Amino acid sequence: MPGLELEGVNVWLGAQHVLKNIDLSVAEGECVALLGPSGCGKTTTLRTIAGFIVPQEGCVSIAGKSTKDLPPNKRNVGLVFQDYALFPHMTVSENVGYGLRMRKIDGKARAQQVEQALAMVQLLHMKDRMPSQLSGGQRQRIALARALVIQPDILLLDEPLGALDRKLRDQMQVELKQLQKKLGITTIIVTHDQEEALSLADRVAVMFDGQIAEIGKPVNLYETPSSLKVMEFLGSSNILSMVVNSREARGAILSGYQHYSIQVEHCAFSVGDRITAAIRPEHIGILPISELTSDTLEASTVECVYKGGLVEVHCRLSDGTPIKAQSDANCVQRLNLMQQGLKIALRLNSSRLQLFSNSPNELTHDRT
Amino acid sequence: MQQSSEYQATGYQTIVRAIGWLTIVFLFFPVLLTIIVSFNASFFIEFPPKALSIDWYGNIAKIHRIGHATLISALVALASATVATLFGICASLALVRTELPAKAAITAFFVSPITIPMVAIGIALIQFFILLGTAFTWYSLLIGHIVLVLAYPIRTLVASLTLSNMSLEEAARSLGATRLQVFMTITLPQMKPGLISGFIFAFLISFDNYPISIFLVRGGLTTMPIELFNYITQNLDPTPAAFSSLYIAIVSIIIFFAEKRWRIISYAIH
Repeated sequence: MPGLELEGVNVWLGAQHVLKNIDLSVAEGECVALLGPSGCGKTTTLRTIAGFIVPQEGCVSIAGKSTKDLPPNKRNVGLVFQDYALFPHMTVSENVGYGLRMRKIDGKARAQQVEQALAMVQLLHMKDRMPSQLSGGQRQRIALARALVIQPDILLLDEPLGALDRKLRDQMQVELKQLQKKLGITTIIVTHDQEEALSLADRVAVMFDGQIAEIGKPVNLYETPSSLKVMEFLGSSNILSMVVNSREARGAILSGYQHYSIQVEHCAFSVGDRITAAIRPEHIGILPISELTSDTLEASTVECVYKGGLVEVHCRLSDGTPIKAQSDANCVQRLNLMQQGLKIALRLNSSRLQLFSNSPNELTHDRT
Repeated sequence: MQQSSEYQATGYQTIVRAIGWLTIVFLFFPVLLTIIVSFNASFFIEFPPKALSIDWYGNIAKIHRIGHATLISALVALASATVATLFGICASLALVRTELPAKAAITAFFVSPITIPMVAIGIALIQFFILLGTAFTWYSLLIGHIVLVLAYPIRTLVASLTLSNMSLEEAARSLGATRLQVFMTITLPQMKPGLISGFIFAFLISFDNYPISIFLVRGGLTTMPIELFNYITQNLDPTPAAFSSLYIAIVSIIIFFAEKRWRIISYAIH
């Protein structure tokens, strides 16, 4: 039985078609992140699951039960807002106990459950404070305790770490993941932060324009995305236009940049096809120009961006195509990459090269 | 000295400060004058007073029907402020929490009594009530005062609702609260500062209103400002000044504590 199921969900807000045929099945205890640029519909999806938006078409099931005609207060959903939405006129205990109060759990039983929830987020000593007396990280944890104390069937997190500074965010990321796994609660995280999505979720759904473009495990999504759009959205990538030169049993030889050719093991295209090849900066090796051969690309350096531990080397191919490679401080020093306009050779890791068909427009454009 | 340069204001700042202080003096001078005159021993209002006395405070009871009129004013103020505040709660919820078309126009309509001359409102009201055959009754006086004070709670309640985040109400909903429970436990407490300040201002505006009441009262139906003004037109002694000083003192105490407790002035200005 899936913990959450969305089937053919369509939402129009006014004249705008905000969610287009969303299908999503989340296993019990699984953590799925909805990732996408702002306005892609990820927050609308969350609000639809919570019951604040009623979809015009399709249905949402939580823990196997259809939520049709079920108002937000009857869904048993734990919701953590980006701004935490702690009730400013109530103490920490009253905030955490609110859901229990609404469930008519009173007296000793309520006090006990509130204390348990506060102990879980290590803030029991703050129980008599007002929300305004707490730091950002503490508010976040209280919001989490308040959502979890009602033992919800599903936990919904809206940009949960968005308002925290970097160091606290890293720490809360680990805590949140451990807590989610320990409780085994079905969780949906809405975020525009890729790192958050890739590190917290079992599966990530990338959304564009009201649709789920692709859903998969973080590693698959990052390493072998099904579309160029997802590849470009996640992390940084280099785009090269190439031609299939010749075909072998399963692989092919691609070319497109002067004498350069590269052999790939898997290729679904035919000879003569113009395709888009994409590769991540960490899969490009930098060699001195003396090692330039037919399977390396000639490039010249533009700039080195120091990222602490790693260095991003911005280069340009001879035809002007920008290309980014990743290196380390050692290599930068050895090859003197800080120097602008230095000729170098780039070796692409052929097994990490992702091939995509050109869009129809570009194809016709190329043929004329 | 080195230190003094820090405190030395520029020419521009000096002018702004001077204007600020002049404004305060301008606003406060009539109040101060009233209080000084009320302690004047002389029968005629004179300034500066030659001798001091508190006799005029004892003379307050001599103002015709002043006790009766003050009671009516207090009752009308209490009732109109209550009705206006209840109406303000409903109106502000609709104006802030729903997708209402022409929100700006509706808000402007609700607060329009502030912008229309009170005498004009008074004439319009009395003609309306004569047409209905209910003129010069307690109810028509009350309705006139509701029209007069309605704008104040609407303004303060809209301000406090706008400041309260919608996500609080959604959080409460997701935690299992019905719409009514959300309103009682979350929305209403969030509206409290606007509620109290709106009520107090509505009460005070109604309590000392003259220009609208003058059209709506007759015979036994009378209010405090009307009896006070009647006394002034027939007598020249400082008894009304004594009454006014007492009134100023009571109102100042109420506002002082309300501001300390609920910051009402900040909400009224918002």
